[in-house]
Formats: sequence, C-alpha cells, structure tokens
Amino acid sequence: MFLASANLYSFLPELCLALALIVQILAFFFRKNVTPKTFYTIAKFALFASSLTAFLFYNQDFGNSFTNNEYTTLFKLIMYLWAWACFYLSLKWFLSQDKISFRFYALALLILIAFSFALSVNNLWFLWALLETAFLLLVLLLKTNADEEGNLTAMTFFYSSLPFSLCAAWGIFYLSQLAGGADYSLVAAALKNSSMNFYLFMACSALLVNMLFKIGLAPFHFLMPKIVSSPCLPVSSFISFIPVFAYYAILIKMAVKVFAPVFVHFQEPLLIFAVLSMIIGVAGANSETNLRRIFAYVALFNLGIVFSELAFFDVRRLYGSFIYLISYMLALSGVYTLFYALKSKGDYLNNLKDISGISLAKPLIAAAMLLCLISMLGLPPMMGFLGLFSLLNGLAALREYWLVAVILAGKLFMAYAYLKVIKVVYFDAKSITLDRVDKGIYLCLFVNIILTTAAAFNPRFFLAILRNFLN
Amino acid sequence: MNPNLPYLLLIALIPLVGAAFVLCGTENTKKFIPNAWAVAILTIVTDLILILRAFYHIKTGYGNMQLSETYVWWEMPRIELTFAVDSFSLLLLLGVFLAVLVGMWFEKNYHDTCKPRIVFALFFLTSLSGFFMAADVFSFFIFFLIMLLPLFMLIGLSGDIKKQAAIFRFMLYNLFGAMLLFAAVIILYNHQNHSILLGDVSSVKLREKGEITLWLTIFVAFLSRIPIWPFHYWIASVNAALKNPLVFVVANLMPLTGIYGFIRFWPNTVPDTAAFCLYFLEIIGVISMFFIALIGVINKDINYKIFAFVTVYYIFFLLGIFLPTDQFILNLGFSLFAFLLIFAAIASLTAYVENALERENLKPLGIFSYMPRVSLCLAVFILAAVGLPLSAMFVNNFVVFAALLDYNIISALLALVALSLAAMSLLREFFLRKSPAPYPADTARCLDIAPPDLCFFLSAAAVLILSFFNPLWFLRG
Repeated sequence: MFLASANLYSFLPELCLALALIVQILAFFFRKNVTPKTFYTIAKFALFASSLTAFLFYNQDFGNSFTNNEYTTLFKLIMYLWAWACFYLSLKWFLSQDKISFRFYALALLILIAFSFALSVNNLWFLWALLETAFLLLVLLLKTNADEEGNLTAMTFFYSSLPFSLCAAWGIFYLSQLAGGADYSLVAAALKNSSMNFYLFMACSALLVNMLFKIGLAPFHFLMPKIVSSPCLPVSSFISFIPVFAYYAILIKMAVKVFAPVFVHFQEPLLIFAVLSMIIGVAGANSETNLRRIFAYVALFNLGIVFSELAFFDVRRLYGSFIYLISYMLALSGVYTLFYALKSKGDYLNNLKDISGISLAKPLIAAAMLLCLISMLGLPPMMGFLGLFSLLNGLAALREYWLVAVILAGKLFMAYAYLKVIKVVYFDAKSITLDRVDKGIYLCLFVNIILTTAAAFNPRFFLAILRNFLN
Repeated sequence: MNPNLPYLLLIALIPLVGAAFVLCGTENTKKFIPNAWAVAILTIVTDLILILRAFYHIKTGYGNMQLSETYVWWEMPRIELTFAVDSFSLLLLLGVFLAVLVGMWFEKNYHDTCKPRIVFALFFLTSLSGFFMAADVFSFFIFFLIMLLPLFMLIGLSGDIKKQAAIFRFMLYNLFGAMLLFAAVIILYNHQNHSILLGDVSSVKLREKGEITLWLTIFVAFLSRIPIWPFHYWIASVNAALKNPLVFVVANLMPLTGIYGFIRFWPNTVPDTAAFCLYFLEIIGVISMFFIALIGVINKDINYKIFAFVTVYYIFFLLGIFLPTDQFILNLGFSLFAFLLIFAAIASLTAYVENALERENLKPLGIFSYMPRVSLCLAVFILAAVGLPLSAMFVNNFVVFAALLDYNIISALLALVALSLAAMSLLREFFLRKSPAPYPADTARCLDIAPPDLCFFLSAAAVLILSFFNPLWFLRG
C-alpha cells in the first residue's frame, strides 16, 4: 500500500546506488576472481545510472518530507561526478598495491546513499539519522587498509564526534518540541514566531556545530589534518571532497529552509570561525612538510573563505561562495590526482622533499601541479580567479571591506606555501626517480586542468546553468 | 578609426602562440635550442611588425585611446576586457619588445633550462603587452597580476639567486602590491557594477576617507613594483644578481609596470583629496634615487651598476610623471623607448662578456682590447646611456629635467646628482675594461661576438640614433 502510493521516481538515484551495493556484495561472496576493477565497474555504472535518474527526475517528490529540486540535483550530480573520479583513481591505487577494494567501494556507495538522502529530506530527525549514519560509515571507511595509527585516529574522530552528535540530537528534540514536529517548515515557522532565548540559541548552535565539526571548520578542525593524511590515498581523497560538498549543500538548505529567521544570531560566530580557519590554515600549510597535510590546511583555509561569505546567508550572494568552492575543489582534486601519480618504487610519496626537481623527469606532472597551485592562489585566467573574484565581489557588495582585506592578506600568506611547493618542484635538484605514470591518471589530470582553466574561455553557458540551479 | 584586423588582441596573443610552439618541441633533440630560439625571435619580430602597423591606425598623441577592442570574458560577474592604445603605450610596447628581442639574442648560447625560459619569457610578453594595452581597470589589474607568474618562474629557473628566501621575498612583495590593487579594483568594480575605463576612475565618487584609502592602495600597489626606499633591497637583491641577459631584462622591466601605472592613473585622474601623496612620493623617490646610485658606485659587480642605472632612470621618469602637467608624457614615452633599448643592449652585451670571462677564467681588466666588436657596441650604448646626444633620451630627458627644475629645484638637483653618479659608475666600469690588457693575446681567444651579432647590435644602435632625430621616424609624413 505504502509502495503503491510512493513516488519511487524520487528515490531512483539512491535506489541505483543501493542496487549496485547489492551487486557488489553478491560479487564479493559468490564470484570467483573478483578484482578491484569488478567493484569499480559496478560502482561506475551505478553512478552513471544515479546521475541520469537524478537529472531526469530532478523535480520528483515523495510527500513533503523528501523533495528533489534543481538545487539538490545539482549537488547530487556534483557528488556523483566527484565520487566517480575518486573511484577511478582509487582503482589505480588498489591495483598497484594489490589490496582488496570491496570494503572501500561498498562503504563509499553507502555514504553516497546517506548523503544523497540527507540532501533531499525535509525533516530534522531524518537528517540527523542520515548524517550520523554517514559519519559512522566515514569512520569505518577511515579504518579501511589503515595501520594502527590510522585506526586510532578513526576511533578518536568517532569519540570526539559523540558529544556533538548528542548535542545535535538534544537540539532537534528541543526544536521539535517547540514546533510540534521536526519538519523543516514547522521548525521554521516556530523559529519565526519565537523570540530568541538561551535554550533556543543553544539548540540551533548544537545543530550547527555538529555540522561544522563534521565539515572540519576551525576551531573544530583539530583532527582533520590527521584524518586526511593518515588513511590510504583512496580514502583520503574521498573524504576530502564528498563530505564537504554534502555538508555545504545541507548547511545552505538548512539555513534557507529552517534557520533563516534566526540566522542573524549566528553570523558573528560563523565569521569568527571562518577567519580562524583562514589563520590556522595559513599557519598550518606554511609549517608542514607532509604534502597531504599541507593541502589539508589549504582546504581548511579555503573552507574559511567559503564560510566568510556563507556566514551572511544572503541568498543572492551564495553564487560567489559556490563558485569559489567549485574552483578550489577542482584545483584540489587536481592535486590529489597528482598524488596518485607521485610514486617511487611502488610507494606513494608524501613528503615535500620527495618531489624535488620532478619538473625535469615529469614535466607534465610538474606543469599540472603549477596550474593547480596558481588556480588556488587565484591568478587569472584560472578558475580560481573567477571564484575569488565572485566571492570578493559579493563581500564588497555587502560592504564587508575588512573581510575582503583579510581574505586577500590570507591569500598572500598562503602564497608562500604554494611558492614553496613550486620551488621544490621546479627549482630544486632531483632527488628521487619516479615510477611510470598510468595513462588513466594523465587523462584525469588533463580533464581536471581543462576544467580548471575553463574560466579562461568564458564558460558563460555553464555558469548560467549553475546560477539557475542555485536559485 | 578601427581596422578590420584585431591588432591589439593579436599583439597580446602572438607571444602565447610562440610559447605554445616552443612548449611542444622535444628538448632532447640537437636542433631544439636553435629552433626554439628562432621561433621566439620570429614571434617577437612579428609582434614588432604588428605594433608598427598599429601606429598607422592611430593619431599621434597622448591620452586619446584608440583602436579600442572589447571582449566579454565572463557574464556573471560581468567582466569585459577593453584594449586600447595611444602613441605612448605603443611606444612602450615597441620598446619592451625590442628590449626582449635584444635580451633573447644570446639565449641560444645558454643551453640549461632554455625551453622553460623562452616559454615563460614569451608568456611574460603576452601579459606585459596586455598590461600596456589595457584600457579599463579590470584588464589593467589582470595583466598586472598575471605577469608575476612567468617572472617568478624565470628568476627561479635561472638559478642565479642562491638564497631562495630572496626570491620568495621578491615575489611576495610584488604579490602584496597586486593584492592591494585587487582590493582597489573590487571596490571600484562594485561601486559601478561594471569595469571602469582608466580615464574615468576619478569620476567615481567615494567618501573622503574611502577615496584617500583607495588612492593610497593604488599608489602602494604601483610603488611595490619600483625599487623604492626602504624596500629597494628586496628587489635589488634579485634584479641585480641575475646573470642571464633575458631574465635580467625581463626582471628589470617590472619597475616599468609601476611607472606605467602611475602614468595612467596620475596626471588626470587623481582627485585633489589624494594629491597630498605627491610630496611623500617625491621625497621617497629622490631618497631612493640617491641610495640606489650609491649602490651602483660602491658595488664592484657590473650587474649592480646596470641595475643602479636602470632604477635611477626609472625613478627619474617617475618624478617626471609627478609634474603638475601631462604635456611631457609623450616626451617621457620617447625617452623610455630609447632607455629600454639601451639598458637591454648593455645588459645583454655585459652578460655575454661576463659569461666569456667566467668560461675562460679571465679578469675583466682590459678585456675589451680583445673584444673590439663588443667594445664598439657597448661604447655606443653606454655613451647614449650617460646622456650624450645619441638617442631620444637626450632631448626628451632634457625637456623633462627642465620642467622638473622649474617645479622643484631641490628635487631636480638631487636627481641630477643621482643620475650623474649612476652614469659615472657605468662609464668607469667601461673604461676599466677598455684599458690596456694585462695578459697576453692568446689568452683571450675567440671571445668577441660573431659578425651577425655585431650586425644585430649595430642595427639596434641605428634605431637608437634614428630616434634621436625623430622618435617616430618610421611613420610616413
């Protein structure tokens, strides 16, 4: 009866992913000679089917508690696309390291399903359950092929998140009591009609802080650099991208649909967190020598910049922060693709000094690194410049000139970290012989660089679509 | 009068096409370096021809931007790149391309990292030409920022700077200026909701404090490109240490971007509220001239002397810009054109000599006795540099100096002393090398430049001498 009345089209993307998961499990247990390619192929087709169905049924709802629209579809498509790239590169890693990939692909698909549902739900309890499930799966993912230190980091991450999760649950409980239900519309109406008091503030803060902890914004970032640098490369690349997109999209949706009446109270704390993230990001990136940690801090810094505009939650200005997010994620994924290429005698390189002078042996890899870094720096004509300009223009329109100055100063200090990497790659003497780079990695890099430099060719059509979707 | 051909876009893009050609070449083959060098020379010559053609499509004069071309870059936020030129910017373009051509001439002798050097030099030319042709604030900023990347790569790849910290300091200092200009551009853009033509900047009305902050930001951004006291050492420690002529020429073109920034913003557009900056800029300018001239006198390294000469002249031109009239701007343009050619030729020939000395393990004293061709070329260029009537610098500098004398006699006299010191140190170095050789003739074997090189430098000298009679001699009528 329930299924008969349900609009199953609205779940099709998630159903495709779930189906792939079942096929993966069956293949793992019943098929002989399974290789990482088997799981990758299943995941690839599932992602393709999910993207297609998400695109085709972009406006199908399941009652009021599960709605799809252009906005959710955009972020679902972005997540699927990035996940596909991560899966493809991970395949190279699993093949070269000769490790079992089932756990990684299965958990990653589960996480995608959870995030995908979380994007469409309109109920705070559902959202909490889905996000906590996704988080739990992320912790399990962190333990994939992890050593003792990696396991410990994963468990520390899990235990640290417990207080935040419990507080968020209390916050939802309080809000649902106040509103008479946990639906976004009910809570939003209740917030509109109530005046701010201590408990209400704490309830909203608990929800917000839980999200900020999971996305890794300062001062809740303390585990993030370790989490990104300690697991194996496929896990590291997956958790650097997919959760960020998901939490970013969910946060905006919540802010618009639920917290809009009270968001002004959270503007200043969010701005402080954003500026703090920038400061810690700059300091961390400049003091580290581990490549993945450097870029973990770079990600924190950029997240700070994104939140500096997001803090104002002016719907008209979201475009700037979104373009900036996309531009830095593109550059960062270029850097992660390079991590898959930086291999010597079968071992993946992690230290800055390991890549010294690679421009002589691998000029294309060095050039790709240079392009990604200058995009992150925000030099024209790269996509990073478009992102930075859109974001700063939005801030200037809000007359937040001091924030423009802080971001530009942050960019200047961060430039030192980028220049250090460029110096090591181009100006230092060669220290290590790199292994042959897989053609697939070159292909990924090529696509990434094309997208990163796309801004030079006036991508007005693409940007217009993005803008329409965001609105 | 707009021709059918998009001259300005082509001028900016041709070096990029050249760079792409060089980039596609395989470095391992024997013919790569001569081929890459030939492509670079051809690229620059093609652009020179285009620039000369562009002169025919404009009316001579300063400030009346012509040949305007607008290209929409982005729709949201809307960014249009507007290119336009007047005689002044075309003259600078001509000077810059000639200077890089001269710097590139001996590049075939430097085999290490030749490919990236040529590629980045051509990329630098694209950004520099875009900068000189930019007619709106946004294009101006984009090219102001973008040129830092090829510069950083050129300096780093040259390997001449032993202390990496110096490169970082240099780059970050320049980037600091660029970020300031970025802030100013964002404020201006946001105020109007579209990019503003350079000539219309003063029409933007802000509150008094905002206006002062905006203009100070812009001025500091331009000053960051010029080795101005007290940060002159940050630039000097890099620019003077470069041994490769191409990299030396390119690095020493950077102050020109600061000067050009002042030229485009100062004469007509600076509002009265920000005019008080003039006094500070003048004082700082004169102090810097003195400091740097002394650096040239004290240091024994010839590169420091050339650097001192170049910088002192740049600051002299800057003082010329600050005169309360813009009727001398075209004179400055003529002078700058000759100056760029002179300094590039001196830097290139000196680097050739220094390279030969290092290779043969010889001392510089009396070396010119065995290098008559180099000696002849250098004599012409150094004599033109010190102010003899051999180039457009002679008359036009005199005009600017007379105006400066009339405006502020103390500044003018101090500038004169600094210019004399810089010229003296250059001349002294030349005469030391010209003195009788202390070692036997067979020691200095085959050191001189080849006849084609001599022809090339004599042609450059001819262009210089022609500019003395008429800086726009190539125009009919």
